[in-house]
Amino acid sequence: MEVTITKTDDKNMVVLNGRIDTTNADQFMADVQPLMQPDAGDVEIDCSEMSYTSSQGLRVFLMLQKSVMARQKKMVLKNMKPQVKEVFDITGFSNIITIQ
Amino acid sequence: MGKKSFPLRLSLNIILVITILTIVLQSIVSISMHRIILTESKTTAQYMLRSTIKDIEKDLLEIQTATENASWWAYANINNEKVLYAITSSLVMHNDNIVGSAIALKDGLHNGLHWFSPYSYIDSVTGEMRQMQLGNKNYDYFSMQWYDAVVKDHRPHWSDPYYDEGGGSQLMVTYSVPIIDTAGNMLGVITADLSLDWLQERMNLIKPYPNTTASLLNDRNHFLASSINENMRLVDSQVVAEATDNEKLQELAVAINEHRDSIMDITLHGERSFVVFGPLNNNWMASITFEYDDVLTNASRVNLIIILVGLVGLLVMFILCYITIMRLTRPIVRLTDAALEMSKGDFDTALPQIRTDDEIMSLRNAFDYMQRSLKDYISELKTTTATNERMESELNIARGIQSALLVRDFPHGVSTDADGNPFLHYDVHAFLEPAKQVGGDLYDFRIKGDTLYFAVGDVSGKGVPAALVMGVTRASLRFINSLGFSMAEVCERINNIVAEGNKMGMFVTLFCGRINLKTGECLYCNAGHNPIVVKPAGEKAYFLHAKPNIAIGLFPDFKYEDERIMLHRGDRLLFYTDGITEAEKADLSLYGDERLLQWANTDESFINGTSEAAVKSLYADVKKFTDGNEQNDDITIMIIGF
Repeated sequence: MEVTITKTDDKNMVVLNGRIDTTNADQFMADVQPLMQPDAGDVEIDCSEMSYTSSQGLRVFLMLQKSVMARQKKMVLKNMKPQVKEVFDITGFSNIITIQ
Repeated sequence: MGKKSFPLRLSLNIILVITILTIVLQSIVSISMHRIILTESKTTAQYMLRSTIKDIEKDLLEIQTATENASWWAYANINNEKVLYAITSSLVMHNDNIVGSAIALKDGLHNGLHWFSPYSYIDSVTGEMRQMQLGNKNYDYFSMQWYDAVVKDHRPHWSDPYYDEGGGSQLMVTYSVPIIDTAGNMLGVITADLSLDWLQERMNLIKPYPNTTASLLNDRNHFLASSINENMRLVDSQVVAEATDNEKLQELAVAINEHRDSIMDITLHGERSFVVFGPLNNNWMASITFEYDDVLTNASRVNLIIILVGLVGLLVMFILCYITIMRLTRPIVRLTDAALEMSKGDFDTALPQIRTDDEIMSLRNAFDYMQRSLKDYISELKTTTATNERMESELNIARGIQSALLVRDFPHGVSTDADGNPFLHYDVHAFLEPAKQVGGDLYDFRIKGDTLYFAVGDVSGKGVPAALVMGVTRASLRFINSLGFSMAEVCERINNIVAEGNKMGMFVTLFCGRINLKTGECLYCNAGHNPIVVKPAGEKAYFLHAKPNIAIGLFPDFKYEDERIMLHRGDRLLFYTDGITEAEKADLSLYGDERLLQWANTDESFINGTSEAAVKSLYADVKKFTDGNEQNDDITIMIIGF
């Protein structure tokens, strides 16, 4: 699991690579801490290389979404693989997180 | 041979080094001592030779002087027969070393006689002095060396050694002095006989060492006396030397022949020796031979004593070393014993007291520190273990409590059909296996009148945090369900309860519903849970893609929607959590939806058997798939047969 964050102006470009599962969900949480700072801007996450997420991973996305909403910014998840998108759909996360 | 102790090894090493040093030093001392002793011995030998020569010269001088004086006396009384006898007797009598004396007159001088020779001598048998007239046809002294040599140059002469058969009957040399008148005419010869036994005795007395030999040779290389062997007397030394193939001996013979005064190394009969030699003033030669071994005997003896003393010293030193090292290392032995005691778990073992402020003291202090650290560590470990055990025990209790929350009394009802045949009206079975002691999965159902309420849920994550949320959800579900709301309303209310104060982003996927057991109408609401599997009797199984809504706990006040499905006799509903579809093999491949659907379409117990058998069958299939790989998520299966 790799998280690459590139900050440009008022936007954070994030690239996720690999699986998010029980073993690295805590690390994933730590890696995205910069995106939860009060002064962090919009978040755009490229999920094209993300192959799987467990419910712990979903929880992190939820925390991110809540953080972004709290500071009145936007978060977009892009290029999500169908099998990952399915998890977001089943759990209803698609309803609260913008997936393009 | 057992293993050697440290003190023994160290002592042996020390002794080995000292032994090697001692041997080297001893060798140097020994060699130097030999050199010095040899040099000293050679100097001493030369003094001894000179002293011997001086002594013999002094005695010979007395004889020569006496004889020469007598020569003048004889000339004065040349015609007085009686006086001539008296002169010879007087010479013998007054000189201990003269064993005989003769006056031999020339032809016709005495009363016209051809031979006239008054002679006095000591009888070698009786020791008394006798007189006789020596010259006659059987003893023609004119042809004798002692007479003849003097006639030639009118000078005194020492004869070669010879065995005198006429007078003394023993080995002797004769000193001859001419009797000359005032006109220079030779009237005869006066002689003094010197016994070789006397010289032999002198040679025999030169014995500073047992194998030292001394020899005296005359000016023509004949042995006069020799302590090597008295039979060598009269022998020509040149002949002796040439008879051997000892080049050194021949060289020595040449040096003696040339009357050199010198010292020479030589090997005689295999013994390394040195010879000092030098001439007397009458051209005789004296020589003394020393064997090296003799000279060095004392040095060797001293060497032996030093070696013996050294050996004793080494032994004493070894014992002292051993005892000292033993004493010095005893604390280490005691430390070792203490360490062994400690290894048995006795951390209160007293360490030996060390009084020396050295490495052993440091070792002891380090040991002391280790002992205390270990003690602290063990005590800490005990506390930690106790804490862990308590937590473990609490978790086990929690597991029991959580397990008790799950319904074990699986309901099923039997009805009769239109023809009056009994059939299994409804049949519910469920199974839950947490990945840890406690988990976040839940299932629930109950019958109220003709209605079967059911729910399957999965809290994000697992372990204690998930279990806490699971508890809240389960309690809320039970309570709210009893109030007669629609399923969507139930979900909304639970959502609000869980979402309130949900700082940790926990959420629950929940599939809950109720079945009218009479009509087969099933009302349900899906809160983000996995699609359930529906297997209508006699048809293919499929995933029921219910409207997902959103998982419980994400956002409060979300509007959930109810959905409906009609059930018929023999239909089967399979509920599960992602612990089934995401069960992992070692190669990370997942059990997956397709495999699950395939199982639902083919498993006999699911199609025709009881729910209990079907639950067991699915769990077995999942276990078979993961093939011993560790279960990493809670697993829940619930099957409802209608």
